[in-house]
Amino acid sequence: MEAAIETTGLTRTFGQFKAVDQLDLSVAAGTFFGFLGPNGAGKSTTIKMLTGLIRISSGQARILGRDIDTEPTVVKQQIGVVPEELALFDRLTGSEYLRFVGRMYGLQKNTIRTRSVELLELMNLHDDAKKLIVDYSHGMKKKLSLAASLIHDPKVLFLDEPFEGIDAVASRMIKDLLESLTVRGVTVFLTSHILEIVEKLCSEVAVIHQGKLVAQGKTEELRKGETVSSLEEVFLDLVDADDTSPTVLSWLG
Amino acid sequence: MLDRVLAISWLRWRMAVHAMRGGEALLQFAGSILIAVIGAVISIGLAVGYGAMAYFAISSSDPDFLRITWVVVLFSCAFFGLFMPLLFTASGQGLDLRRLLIFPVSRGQLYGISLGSAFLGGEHLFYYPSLIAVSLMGFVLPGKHVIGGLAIVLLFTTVVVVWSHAVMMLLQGLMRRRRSREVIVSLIFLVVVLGSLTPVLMTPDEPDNGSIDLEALQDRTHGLARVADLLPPFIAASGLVGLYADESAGSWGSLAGLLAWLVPGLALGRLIFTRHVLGEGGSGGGAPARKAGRNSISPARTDGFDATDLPVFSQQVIGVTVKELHYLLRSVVGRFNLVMTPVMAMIVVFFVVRGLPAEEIFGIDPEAVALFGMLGYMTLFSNNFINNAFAWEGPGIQFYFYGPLALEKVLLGKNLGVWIFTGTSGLIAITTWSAFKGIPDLWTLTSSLLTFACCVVAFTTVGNFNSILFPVARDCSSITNSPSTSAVLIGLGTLVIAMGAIGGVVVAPVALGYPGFQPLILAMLLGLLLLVYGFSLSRAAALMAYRAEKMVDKLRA
Repeated sequence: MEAAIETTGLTRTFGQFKAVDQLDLSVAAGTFFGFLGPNGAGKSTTIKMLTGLIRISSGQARILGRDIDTEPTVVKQQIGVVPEELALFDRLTGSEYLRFVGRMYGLQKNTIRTRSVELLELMNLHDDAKKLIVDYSHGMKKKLSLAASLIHDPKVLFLDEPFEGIDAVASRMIKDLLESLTVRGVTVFLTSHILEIVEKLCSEVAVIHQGKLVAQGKTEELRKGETVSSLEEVFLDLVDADDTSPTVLSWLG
Repeated sequence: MLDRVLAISWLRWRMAVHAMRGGEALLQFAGSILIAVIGAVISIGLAVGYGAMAYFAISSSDPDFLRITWVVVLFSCAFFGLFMPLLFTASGQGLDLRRLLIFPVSRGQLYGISLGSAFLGGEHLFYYPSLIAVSLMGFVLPGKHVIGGLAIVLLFTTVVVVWSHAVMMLLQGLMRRRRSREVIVSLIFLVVVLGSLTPVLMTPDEPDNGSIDLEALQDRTHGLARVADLLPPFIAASGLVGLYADESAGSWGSLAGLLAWLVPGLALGRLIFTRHVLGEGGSGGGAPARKAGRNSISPARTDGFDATDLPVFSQQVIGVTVKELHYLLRSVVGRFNLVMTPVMAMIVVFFVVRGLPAEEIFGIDPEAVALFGMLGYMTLFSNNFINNAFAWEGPGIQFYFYGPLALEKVLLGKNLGVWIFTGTSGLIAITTWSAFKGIPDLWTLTSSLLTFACCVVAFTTVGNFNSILFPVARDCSSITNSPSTSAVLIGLGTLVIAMGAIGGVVVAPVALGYPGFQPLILAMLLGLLLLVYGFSLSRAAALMAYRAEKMVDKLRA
């Protein structure tokens, strides 16, 4: 199957610090892909490079066979993004924001109108469509951002911590939606700290640690390869964080 | 308690220091030092002036002169103490004391700490030298009524600080909510606007020689004066005058009056503080849980879109322009500009035009010069939007970089938005002018509009680079929306050069005896400036792509 996302030697440095180091990654189309790593491992930096938010120091990244560095506009037309810090314009209303994003992706007016209504309905935001985004709760902003990332019918969806700070109802709705998208052939690339969600949703995962890829494969295979049973334990083992017993701070408590 | 006051002072200091970190730290630091020096010079200058006034008042032994002296000094101190925090609050500065609640400090202690640190606030330090100077000259150096005088002055200062602290907390609490913040800022603007129109409103039948009937004015304000006698500066002044007249009853009455202000001030302050701390609501009004919506969306549709085929005025550009206009019309500064435009035009019509000489200026009718000048000045209203064009984007700026659009289109869309907005301001100004002075003749009107357009295009060309090189995050609902110091300096340089060049083009054809060529040459200049602007767009877009990460970093705050 053709790779929807493919990176070769992808590297990003900040001064002397290598945030992402020689990352080779291949994600097949239609995969629900979980990208894991501890804080500061390079997850967000990788997503930012794949979506053209930051420059690539060296290496290559191809989305749907196109190079993000040389054909950024073509690639961006086919991807949807929910960045870690939601890229919302908070002085627009929810429906104005969707109209704006639809225009940016070159959709026809009628298409924008229809899809906006459907997306707002889907996200349970239709009653708040006329409210300024600045007055939205965090969960509402997250849902609006997801709606905006879908309006142009992307083939690949990048989600940076989509479940952070949202309630169980919204979380369930987003999970169901993402699953239905992958059934239709959309590739979902997500990062999350909530390993239970990743374990349940993702058919494939990769783990990055200190900027380097330390594992990639089917979720089931990764678990079977270990003597342990949960993804959390596999993850902790991979990032050398399995020994969590508090041997210090004896004064505590 | 003291260690906590010191800790909070340290915290404020560190916040101020960290606010000056980054690429422009040196300029910001220099600016802060400059402001502090200017503030200190003004403060000391006032203190010297007031001290001298107190000395002469005591030497004269004239009770009226004494009373006026104390009223002026104490009233101005109260004004500084109450008005300057208003400005700071409106600009969104200050430490959010709610953050300190996680520490083991009771609310009462926190109020004490907050009030204690208010005594050391810059707005109060500003007028302390004046109070010290008048106290020295008024009773410390003469060695008369020292205890009574100091008691009244200290109590008066405490009253001012306590009330200023309470008012500021109330405003901070209100301004945390966006809508009330916008209402308050709009009210402050309204006061400014009405203040600027006061001379016109107060003297509708004023003769041209500018004299004002003082007796009539006193009659009109007599009731106001009786109310003013109950205010702390007047109470304190009466007490101090009473000391010199050896009227102990007056002094005691003054102390009692000040205490009558202090006690409710403290109670109100504590109440506001408690509400301000406890009154914060829940998570921000999330939508109530509803049944999960449909878990599917319509089948995918294809629009056959190809981003590379887009014309210059594509719907992407229009989309950015519409978004920009939404922001401009929803921002406090944008609304303020629209309100101030006719006010400025009226000020020009009523004050500037009236003072113009009868003779022609460089061969041009003085009223036409005023019209040119007014429209040129109007372009300055948009300076904030032009030189810090991304100020309000916040994390939304990321969209321009991951969205499928060329950055030239982002810049063009934003510029078009500002041009439409500024053009509207210009039309409002001309309409206001026409309402009072009549419609200008066609040549003057054409030339002045072309001058206006030339200025805007020239400023925008440079402003795009300024906005990309020196972006500063700003709050849409705040009064202060100024660009960075560097952008302001570059903008000023552009202003001087552009005004000089455009002014030359305006004057030269008339001076050379070909006034009919004036609009033609201005139109050619506008065409040239538009060409330069068009050429600069791709350069600015390349710079924007290069500085994408820095822009996102600076603006997401």
